[in-house]
Amino acid sequence: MPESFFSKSDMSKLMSIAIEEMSEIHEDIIKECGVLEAGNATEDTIRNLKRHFHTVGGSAGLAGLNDISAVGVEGEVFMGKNESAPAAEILPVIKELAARLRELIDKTQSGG
Amino acid sequence: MSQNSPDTILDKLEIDVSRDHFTAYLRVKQGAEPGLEDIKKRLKNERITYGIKDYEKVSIFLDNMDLYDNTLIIASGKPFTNGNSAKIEFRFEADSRSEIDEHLGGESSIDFRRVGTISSVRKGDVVAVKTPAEQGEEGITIYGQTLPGEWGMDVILSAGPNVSLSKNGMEYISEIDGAPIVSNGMIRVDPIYIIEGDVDYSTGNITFDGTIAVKGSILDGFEVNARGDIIVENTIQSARVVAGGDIVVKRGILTRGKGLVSAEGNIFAKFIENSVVESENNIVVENAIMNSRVYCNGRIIAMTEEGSIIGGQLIAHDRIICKNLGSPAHPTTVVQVGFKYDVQKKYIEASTKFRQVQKQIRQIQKNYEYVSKTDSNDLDKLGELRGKMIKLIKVQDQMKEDLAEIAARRVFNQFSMIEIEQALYQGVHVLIGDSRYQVQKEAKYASFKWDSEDKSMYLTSFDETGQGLRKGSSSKARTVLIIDDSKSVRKTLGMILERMGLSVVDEAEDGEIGVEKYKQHKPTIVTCDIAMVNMNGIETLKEIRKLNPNAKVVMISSNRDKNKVLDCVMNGAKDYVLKPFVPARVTTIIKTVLDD
Repeated sequence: MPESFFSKSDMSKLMSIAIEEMSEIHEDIIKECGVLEAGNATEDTIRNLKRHFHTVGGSAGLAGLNDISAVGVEGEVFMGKNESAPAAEILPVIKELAARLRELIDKTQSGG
Repeated sequence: MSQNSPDTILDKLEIDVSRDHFTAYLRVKQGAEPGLEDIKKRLKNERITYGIKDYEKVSIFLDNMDLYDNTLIIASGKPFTNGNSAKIEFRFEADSRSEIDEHLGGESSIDFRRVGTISSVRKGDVVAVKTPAEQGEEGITIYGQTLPGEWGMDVILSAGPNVSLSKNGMEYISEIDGAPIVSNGMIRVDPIYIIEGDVDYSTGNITFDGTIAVKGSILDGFEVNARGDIIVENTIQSARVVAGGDIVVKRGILTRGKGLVSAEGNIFAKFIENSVVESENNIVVENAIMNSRVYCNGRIIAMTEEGSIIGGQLIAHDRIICKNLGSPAHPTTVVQVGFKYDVQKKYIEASTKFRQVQKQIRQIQKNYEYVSKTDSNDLDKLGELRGKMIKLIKVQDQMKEDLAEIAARRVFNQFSMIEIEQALYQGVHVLIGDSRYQVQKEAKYASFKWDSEDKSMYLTSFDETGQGLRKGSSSKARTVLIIDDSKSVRKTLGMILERMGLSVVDEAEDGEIGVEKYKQHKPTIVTCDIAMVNMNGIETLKEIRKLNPNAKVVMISSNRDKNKVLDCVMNGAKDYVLKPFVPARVTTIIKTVLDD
């Protein structure tokens, strides 16, 4: 987002809202992973995961958090291709994506 | 201790020294009866040595009946003086164009008889002499400290093309035979090409690397290009006249809607009628601007003689100042300030083309809806319409890119204004930035300015209160509902739209809630995400259009949803913005939808 349009304080406010939102979505992804692990996944579980990654891709991209956005896009594409795949197959990939997401969020929060 | 013991007396002698140390004041406190020696001692204690008052006068002061109520200036320093400022003496008759800066406020008028006077100098002539600034006399404070005198202001005049400076830097010497020109703090000498009569078949088109002086007119169909100024004694007719410096037309510009008069410097004319005129600087007209397109990046001034602007379109970056705006016949007169004219012209052109494509898209939307309702089995027809829509959306996408790029360069000058010294008539449309106002009632002594806090223009005049103006033109009355499942997208969009002057009435994180909030607020425009949980963007769009078939809904979604975006457009979305977006793109699209 260009600084000329937003003031520095607006930019920092928007950035902190985006990071907070990414953290919330990360928690939601972890919860859905729990549902998958428990064998209770429904169509909604897969749809929600896809939507969570979609939101990460869009919102992080908007805030200029391109690394985080890339993980979101990767997750959304993966979920799109594996909508009918068994939980055991997709779970490790989702967990790995979630771990990368957490790492990048922490890095951004600590100013890295 | 007695009342007059030496220490008590000195304590009761108050000395105040001015901040600049040039004056000391003495006041005697109630009850003290000091002698001259006490005063001397007190001054010595204060280290005041210079400019002490004659002791005879001090004695008179001490003998005064009202001693305790009065103050005596006991010492006065010698203030330093300001030196004379530098001066430039021109050794030729400079025309009154060089005074333009003093007249830009429109307070006084320019002597048009002296505009466009051509002076000529010979090679080696001294064209100007500078007298340097001088230092003033030194001053001495009451403490005896010497302070240097102030230097007078310097005047900077640089030596431009064909002018050199003497060894001491005080004389400006012409290197060629030509016309001396003073402009923007620089003196230059341009070669002169003089046309003794008209620019016509006998001269042909003219291109010259200096100043061109035409003793007659520039006739229909001819072209005149000069790197310097162009000075025309008579008129410019349907011709193309382009100058790197100023253009001065002693009579008028009347190109009858053809041709172009364009200057990188200022343009001066007695009148402009039915012409296209543009200047990178100011345009100053003596009589009237009538039914013309007049654009400049400085000020348009019509303050001398009649000073009227009647009909046509005028754009100035800074100000439009005139005596009369419009006329009792109420011709459509559009005046706009706040944007650079070249960017604004491109923006208007691009917006117009964009709207044409939008219109075509709306038509396909209508046809698609009609075929879907009446003959949903006609898959060929539906497919054909969808194909047409895909093509148009591609065209529109490119136009959006172009528009956003232009919009980003459209920097608003919030200090721009329009001032009318005498009469303002109905039929005049005033724009400051994108805020528009149509004059409904004649007014006098009016000025339109921008209120940067309220983000709207306001009018002050004797006859019109401006109440309607604030209410009618302010885009704050326009409301927006933001439907998006992402909090950060909602906040970012909210900030962008509020900067446009829209009021965010509410937000919804889901389509279902969004539809409820639409019913509640009936906003002017809705932005709607596509991928949401309980009710997705397409369903939300359909529900909102059931409530209001003319609802203005703009879809916001990521690039990966292009097919879904197409579905939205086929189902009546007014436009779409793809994420990640930049503010200029959002504002451009929202603005065109609002104006639709």
